[in-house]
Amino acid sequence: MDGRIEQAKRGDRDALESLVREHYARVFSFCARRLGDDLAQDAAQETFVTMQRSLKRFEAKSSFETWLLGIAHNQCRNLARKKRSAPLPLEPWIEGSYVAAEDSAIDREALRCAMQKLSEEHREVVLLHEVEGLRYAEIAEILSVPEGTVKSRLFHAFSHLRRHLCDS
Amino acid sequence: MTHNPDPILEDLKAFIDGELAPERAAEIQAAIDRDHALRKEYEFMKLLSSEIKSMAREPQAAGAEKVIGNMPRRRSFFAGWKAPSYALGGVCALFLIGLVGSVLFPVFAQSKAAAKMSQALSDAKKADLVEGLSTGSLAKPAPSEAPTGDLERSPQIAGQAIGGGGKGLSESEGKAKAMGYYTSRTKSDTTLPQPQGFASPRKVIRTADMGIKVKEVRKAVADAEDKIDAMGGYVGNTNYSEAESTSTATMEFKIPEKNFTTILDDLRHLGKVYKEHVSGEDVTANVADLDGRVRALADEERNLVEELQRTRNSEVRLEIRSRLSSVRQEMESLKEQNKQMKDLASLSRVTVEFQQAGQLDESKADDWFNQTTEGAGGALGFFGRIVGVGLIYTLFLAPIWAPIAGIAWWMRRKARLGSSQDA
Repeated sequence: MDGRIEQAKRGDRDALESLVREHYARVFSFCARRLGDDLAQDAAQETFVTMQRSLKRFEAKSSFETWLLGIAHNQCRNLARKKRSAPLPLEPWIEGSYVAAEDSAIDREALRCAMQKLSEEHREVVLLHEVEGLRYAEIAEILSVPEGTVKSRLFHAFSHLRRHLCDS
Repeated sequence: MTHNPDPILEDLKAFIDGELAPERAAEIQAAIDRDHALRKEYEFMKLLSSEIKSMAREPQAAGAEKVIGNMPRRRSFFAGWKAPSYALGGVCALFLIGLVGSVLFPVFAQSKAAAKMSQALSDAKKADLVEGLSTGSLAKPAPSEAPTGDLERSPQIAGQAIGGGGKGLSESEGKAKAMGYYTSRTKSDTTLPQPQGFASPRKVIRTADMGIKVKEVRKAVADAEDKIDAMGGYVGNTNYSEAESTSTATMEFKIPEKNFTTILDDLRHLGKVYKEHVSGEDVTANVADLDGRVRALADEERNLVEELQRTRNSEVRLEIRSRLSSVRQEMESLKEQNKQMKDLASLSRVTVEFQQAGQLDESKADDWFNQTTEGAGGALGFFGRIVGVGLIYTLFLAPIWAPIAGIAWWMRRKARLGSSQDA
């Protein structure tokens, strides 16, 4: 385990600050892609406060970053529920302006429509894997589901995307 | 797009993501090499994946300093203790306080049992006094006032006196009551926030366990049954236990989840709650997962049926039918699991124990000052004993540690003298 984590567990504020500085950008992006930039700062702050509170329970079964993203995932979900916002809207994680359709092999507007039609759980795994770049085991840890479920959801999400793209 | 039930296709995405074991990856690679359609599928999926990646937005992180500034400061209790000598000094001070405590307040060092016995003796005298008044025998000098006689029968008498004259209490129950176990009961905090007005479609399996002191047990049970019936619940089990002075009843019932909070509120009004534990297991994610899997299987079933209608090749048809059968079987099993989980979440289980309230028990509960001083005295005595034990061990082990400490002190002194001479 990172020495700083052990120091932070013992209440060392410098170690804690160092951890926050190292992981802040990642956690902020993670939250911003779920809630938008405005709410991301609140979610990130809550994430790090919770991290400080629960650090003693961290047993390094997964990487520290995965553990932290698990907390961020729960904070985003709680905040979205409080704000009664739609689950996982596309706007915060997909660029608003696209390259012209002919420059790309896939019509991006059609792809965006297809992604809009995905269920929340399918969109979730697409976001975590394709955008956040997490591996199946890490996604399974964050969502508290078996790794096989992640694999299956991702396969079905892509099947749905393909079908919707073909239909359109 | 054709949905092929071939497991090769199912693993294609995992293959692209490099999440397969080497053997399986080699199989998929071989299949891609020989199957043109599969190769096209593989290339499309890769393209789709890279398109999604390229469409992703990169948010600019802001506010790290604010987050660090707002983080609550938490210092370890020992963070300020820079040298172990402070800790040693603290331990010595604790020893000293403990020693002074045990010398100045020897009464607190007495065993708790002895203190309780004296309380029981006092109660026994009260009981004798009440008995004497009622039988008119008080005028005669009571030979049982001799200390030994009282001590011998005090537990039984204590049991009678505290249990409201109930002779049905056993000796241990009498002692337990004499020691204030009932009065020191705690109403445990509920582990879940009150779900009142909770309108989201979460699936939570709720359970509650309550203990209530009531004046009349049978009436309380009847009242509770009426309320449960009115709220659409049903009683699964009711057990009565009658003794001479007290009676208890245990009820187990199920109630629709929407009325869970209401029934708990109603039950609390039936008497004095002495224990309460509410718990809940959130199964929303499990239900959603099962729903998703059922939907996915339904899609697969539809595709297989379409495939079956299109295919003329008997061998392929047989294979599709076999796959269809297993998909349907799995779907039914998942549906059943989902139904069971939803049923469990729709009806909450509550266990209530009604206990008849004793008269002296309540008066004892009001005597908070005596209980608090008794408790504090006991705690101080316990602390004094611990310190005393530590001190005795330290003294007995002095032949071991004292020479070592002496040598260390001597060497340190020598070193200091040497350095001062050098200077």
